[in-house]
Formats: sequence, C-alpha cells, structure tokens
Amino acid sequence: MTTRSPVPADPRCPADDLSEFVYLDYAATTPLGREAFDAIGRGMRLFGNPSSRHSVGQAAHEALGTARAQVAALLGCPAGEVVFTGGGSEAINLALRGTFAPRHWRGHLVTTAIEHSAVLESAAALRRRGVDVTIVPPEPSGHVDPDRVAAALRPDTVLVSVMHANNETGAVQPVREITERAHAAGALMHVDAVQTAGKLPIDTLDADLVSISAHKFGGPKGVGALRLAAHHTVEPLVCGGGQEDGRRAGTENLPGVLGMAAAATAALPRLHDRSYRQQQWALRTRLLRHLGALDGVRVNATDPVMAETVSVTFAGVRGDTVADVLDMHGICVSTGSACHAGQDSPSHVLTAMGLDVEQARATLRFSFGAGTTGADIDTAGRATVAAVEQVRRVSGRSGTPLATVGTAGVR
Amino acid sequence: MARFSPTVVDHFTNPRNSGEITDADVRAFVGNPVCGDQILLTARVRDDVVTDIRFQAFGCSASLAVASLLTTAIAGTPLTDVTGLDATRVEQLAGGLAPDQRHVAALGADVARRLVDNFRQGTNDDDPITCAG
Repeated sequence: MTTRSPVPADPRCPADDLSEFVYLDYAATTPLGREAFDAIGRGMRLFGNPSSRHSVGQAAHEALGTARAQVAALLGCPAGEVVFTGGGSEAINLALRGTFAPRHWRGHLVTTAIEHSAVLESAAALRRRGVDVTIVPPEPSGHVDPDRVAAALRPDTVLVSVMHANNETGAVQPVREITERAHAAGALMHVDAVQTAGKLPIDTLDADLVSISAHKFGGPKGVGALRLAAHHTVEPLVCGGGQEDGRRAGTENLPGVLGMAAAATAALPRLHDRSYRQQQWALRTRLLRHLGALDGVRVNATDPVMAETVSVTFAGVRGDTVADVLDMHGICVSTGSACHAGQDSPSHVLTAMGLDVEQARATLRFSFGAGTTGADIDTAGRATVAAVEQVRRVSGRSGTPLATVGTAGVR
Repeated sequence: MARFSPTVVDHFTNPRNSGEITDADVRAFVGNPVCGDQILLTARVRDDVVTDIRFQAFGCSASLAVASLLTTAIAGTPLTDVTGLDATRVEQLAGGLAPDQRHVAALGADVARRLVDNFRQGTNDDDPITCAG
C-alpha cells in the first residue's frame, strides 16, 4: 500500500500563499519567508562540505561565514560567538547542560515556572545529576519579578535562565533587570529568545547566552543558534568533528543556516520600525475589540506584552473545542492545553499564573505576524465569537465573569 | 489524514437536539473525571419508546458530536434497542474515531445505558453541568 505524502509537491513559497487559511499560530511556527526560501535553494546547490579544503568546500565555508555574520547581526554579537544548532531546544540544552557539565554537575541554577519545556526539562535533568535548581514563580500578570529572581541568587549560583517573552501569553520579561542582578551576583545569564527573535530587538540583551530558533521568524525548521559569549565555554552536547569551533560537532546544515541567516536579515529592518510595531498593536486591538463582544473573557497578560501574541480565556468553554470549530472554518489558532487520550495536562504557564485547571483549559492563543491582515483578524474575531457562543449553547454554560487581568477591547 | 470523520464534523458544526427538556421523563448525566467530558441527556418516553430527546455536552469536539448523533440515534427508538448502543456501535455511528477520541464512544455508550437504567428504576440524574466560572 502506498501512502500519499501530506507534503505538497508545489514548490511555491509558503509566505506567498497564505490565502487558503487564516493562519494565527505564528508563535508555534511562521511561514517560510521568500528570502529564506530562496537562500535554502542556494544552500542546496552549495553541496561542498564547509570543512573541506578544496574550492567546492571553501565556497560552502564562505557562505557559512557570511550567514554567521548575518545571524550575529540579529544577536548583536561578534560572528565568532554564534554557534549553529539543530534548533532552539538544542541551543537551550547546550546553554544549560553545556554550562554545568564542565562543573561536574555542581552549582545552582535559577529559572522560572513559565519557561519553555526545553528549559524546564533541562533543569530537571540537571537536578537529577546533582545541580541545585530554584524555580521562581511568575506574578499573576504573567511577568517574573526581578526582585524574586534576585532573592533566589546564591553565592554558588552559576546560571540564571529566563525567557525574553513567554510563548503562551506573550508577556515580555524584565530580562535586562534580571541580567544586571545575575551579573552583580557573579552568575551567568541565559535568555531564551526563541519567541522574540525577529520580532523584538535582541541585540541589546547583554546576556552571556541567547537561544534562537529560525522557524519562529520566517526561517526553516530544524536550525537554531546559541550566542555563546567569548568569556564562557560550554561542553558540547554533540561530540565528533571540530565544527563550530569545537562547540557543536556535525557537518553544518548549510541550507538551513543560509535560510535562517536570510530570515534574520529580512527581520532586522522591522525590529526598530515604529510603523510595523504600530501595525501589530492595531491588529491586537482589533482582535480584542471583536472578542470584547463576549462576556467572561480574560486576557492573560498585561503590558509589557508582545503585540503578536494574544492569550484569552473564555469562561464556559474548552479551548480545544473552540479551536476545532475555528479549524473547520479554516482558521488556525492554538490552545494552552490539549486533551489526548484522556490524559490532559493544563498549561503549566497559566496554572503558574494562578488560573485553575478549567480556566487553563478554556484558553486560546492567537498569534500573528508580518503576513497577517486586518481582514484575517476580522474573520477570526467574528468566527471566535460565534464559536464560543455555539459551544456555550450546547453545554448550557454561560460566560460567567472571570477574574480580570487584561480586558478585551482595551489595549 | 483528517482528524475527524465527516459525520463527526457534521454533528459538531450542526448539532442536533441541543438543549434540555425541563419536564423530561428521564435525565441521564455522565462525566469523565479525567478529561472532563460531560453529557446530559433529557428525554420523554412513551410506551417504552424515546419520543423526544435533548442533550447538553461539555468537552472535546468529538464528545459534542457524539452527544448530538446519539440523540438522532435514540429518538424514536425502543428502550430495548438503546441498551444495544455499546462503545463499538457508537464509534460506528460516528464514522470512526481516532485512538485519542475513543474514550468518547465509551462515554456515549455509558450515558445511553444510563438513560435506560434511570427510566426503568425511576431515578434521575439531577446534577447540573456546573459552570466553569
């Protein structure tokens, strides 16, 4: 029996062909941008091994160097501080595990309860090996208080790891203040910038370690980078050849790296473009105005928050059910939790912020980007209101008011 | 591959018989404490035949669809036949369910059986589907 591939044979660039759907799940992944699409094609033709001495290999080597400089520009660091990885999770693992491995798994790590699982699972693995780990809880607003992080610091704290913005709520964390406190205490700082790279400036983070992932900003999947400050060394997770200056073995994924570099270069101009940021805020405000027609709506983060990420809890519904209704209308959003085979777990982020299990399950995440239009927002907003009303109707439940953090309809 | 059968999509997007019969002859309520799915059936019964039935459901998409299609299967059906709606039959009525949705077939079969048992025993499930608030 032959299985039909779900991969389209049509070689059109995804970012040029979004009309089939209203895609509002940019926080999960972004459509491959035109620049990255073209660069990947160039990378496929550069078949030489970047480590080869001959001219074919050197062509690949030069392209790799150019790409490294482009990614360094996004990170705001010298090119030599960029380590290419197999994605954001690998970059995070290299930052955390790579820091503690040479210290024989001793010392203290401070992180927060709202981190991505790549950080929390790495922290759990470190704890099993003997590292002390302190998990700082967030405030109900979705933000981590720098003073609480500072209070967790100890003389043996080796590393502090805090995300730049939360992937579920969009809450932008005070990483600058936290970095200052970490450095003052003699600790290193890692910032998980996977959710903000290409969307907010990350070139001024001043952290020792910064993780990014290409597919979150118009690049391909399976490639990421770690900014590794020159004054810090890590033990590689992947051993073998001496690629990446001995920090990550394995022949470089040249098409992927070139795609990420092109996406980084394409993103740079909009990072400080006031009109682009205003456009994203206008889309957010527009969506919240639509959702404000419903009773029992809670917006799960206050300012500072990424305009592009809107986490909303609707009383009296299940988020996955509403997401399925929207999916049947060609609108792609995500939930804060999922129910699979009767074994569901509510979002650790939302529950850490104080939402109960029902509220966490009643949450949708809308996330948009450069390809999103006002018409997309209107379509999704109207469909969401109708879907929530339908699901409430068949359950006999109402939109009982929820404790409000943010308010729909108001920026 | 589609996550849902055409039947599930149809009942999910156009639910039949939703609501509650306030002066019902029998009420049956079943909830899954693990994933939180809940189905409430209210029905009128004449001469051991279900003449009218409504549902309220809270849970995943498949559970809402199963509640709707259950009512279409039960309406006009003798109680003796309703008891034959086991999980396998409910899954067939749904046009198939993915492995992670099959617990919904069991939930549907449970509430159908409970409807018959409650009617015969003269009992009702009066637990309201409480608001998530």
